Amino acid sequence: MSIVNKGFVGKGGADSKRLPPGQSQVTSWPVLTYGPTPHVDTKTWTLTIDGAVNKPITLNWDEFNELAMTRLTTDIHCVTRWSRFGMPWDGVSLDDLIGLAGGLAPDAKFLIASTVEGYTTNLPVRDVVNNQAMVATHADGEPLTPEHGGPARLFIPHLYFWKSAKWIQRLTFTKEDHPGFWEVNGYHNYGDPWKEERYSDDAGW
Amino acid sequence: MSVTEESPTVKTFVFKTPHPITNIAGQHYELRLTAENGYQAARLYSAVVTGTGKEEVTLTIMNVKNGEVSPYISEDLKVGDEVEIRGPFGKFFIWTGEEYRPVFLVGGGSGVVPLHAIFTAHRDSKSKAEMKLLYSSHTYEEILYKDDFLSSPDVAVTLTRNAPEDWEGLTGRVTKDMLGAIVDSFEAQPICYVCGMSLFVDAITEALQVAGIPSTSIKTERFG
Ligand SMILES: Cc1cc2nc3c(=O)[nH]c(=O)nc-3n(C[C@H](O)[C@H](O)[C@H](O)COP(=O)(O)OP(=O)(O)OC[C@H]3O[C@@H](n4cnc5c(N)ncnc54)[C@H](O)[C@@H]3O)c2cc1C
Repeated sequence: MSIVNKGFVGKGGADSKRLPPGQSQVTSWPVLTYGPTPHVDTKTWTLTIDGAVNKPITLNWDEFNELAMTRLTTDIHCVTRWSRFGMPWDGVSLDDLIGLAGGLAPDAKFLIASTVEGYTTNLPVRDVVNNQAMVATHADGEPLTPEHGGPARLFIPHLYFWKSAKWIQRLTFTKEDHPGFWEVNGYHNYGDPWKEERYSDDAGW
Repeated sequence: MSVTEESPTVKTFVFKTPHPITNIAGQHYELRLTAENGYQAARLYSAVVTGTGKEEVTLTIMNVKNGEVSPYISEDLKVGDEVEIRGPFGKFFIWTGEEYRPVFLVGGGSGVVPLHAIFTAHRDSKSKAEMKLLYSSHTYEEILYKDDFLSSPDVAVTLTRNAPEDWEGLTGRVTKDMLGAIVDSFEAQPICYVCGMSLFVDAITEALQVAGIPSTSIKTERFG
């Protein structure tokens, strides 16, 4: 049973204001990737949490799946101008993963997320704590397919979706910012859909 | 659910739960709101009372201007309404009576909520370890838990915006000197718990390291 909080509308307000500027609503789930889709075997899959944490750890698929899962039903916004509303996502909250890694060291200011193919994306720590991010394994109640980043991807719904890196392998906390693949290739360093932070100012698009 | 006002912008809520709940000082709960169209938003809130297995959860929540979740709870939620709460969570930013080392707590704004839980858990325990708190609040009116804090010799409050004329405590933002003086007043080097917004946490952890505290002795919790 899910409780409905009468009068609560959330970010963007009522339905008519749910879409960030310059976006269109879709009901399908478009696939957008750069390069070939890696097929990651859960037998060899690992997730490492390291850098500025007190006890770096590496989890295998079975260990990861023993952790408490959380579900969030929310909206996603892709920089290629589509948004999907009300998708349920299941995964492990980054707060829990950080806790398993002994908590953040005081100089942890950024998260650099890396995928199996070596792509990285960067995020301020303040955007990935407090329940804002998870490592997700399911969307719409189904396991994530390889096209959508399965078996596990990062999930940070309040930023454009390229920040929700597919095929996640490593979460490294750092003192300095290290702009990732898209961020050095003309995309905005932060990516707030409500402020239309699509491209970096000097990208010349 | 019952509500008490702590300050002009902060209220303490007691939620009845369907089963008994126990938590450790410093842990937090997830509170989730669901709109009629299914959209959800969830935030974390610290446990105010260190759990005794009662059928209730107590949360102190600051109404953050233009926030997504806290204004709804502060302004729209009525006694009798239901909300979804999960938890408790947190294995790191916690304190139990087994902690034998002295502790220095540093909090800003609503960041004092989990530190207050730790402070009262320590006060009500048999622990002989020293514990002190430095609390940064904008104004006198915004100081939370005045009854527990203002009479305690182990608590220093600094007011950063304005102070009443008869205020005898500290004023201005937390400085390296303020932190250093408290660090030096401990009999042995303390471990530090720092909680508040990210900019506050960054400034405090840097200053604590200047005051000689190794980064491995600093625990942080960032509210956003
Ligand atoms: C482990 C943990 C425990 C927490 N415990 C508590 C608690 O006991 N009591 C409590 O009130 N909050 C607590 N918080 C913060 C809380 O989870 C929310 O972040 C806060 O209520 C704001 O949510 P919102 O949806 O209203 O605002 P959002 O829509 O998330 O934010 C709106 C804007 O307000 C800013 N903002 C967010 N929080 C604050 C703040 N506290 N002061 C000033 N500006 C802010 C944000 O940076 C943002 O720009 C805790 C956070 C964490 C991570």
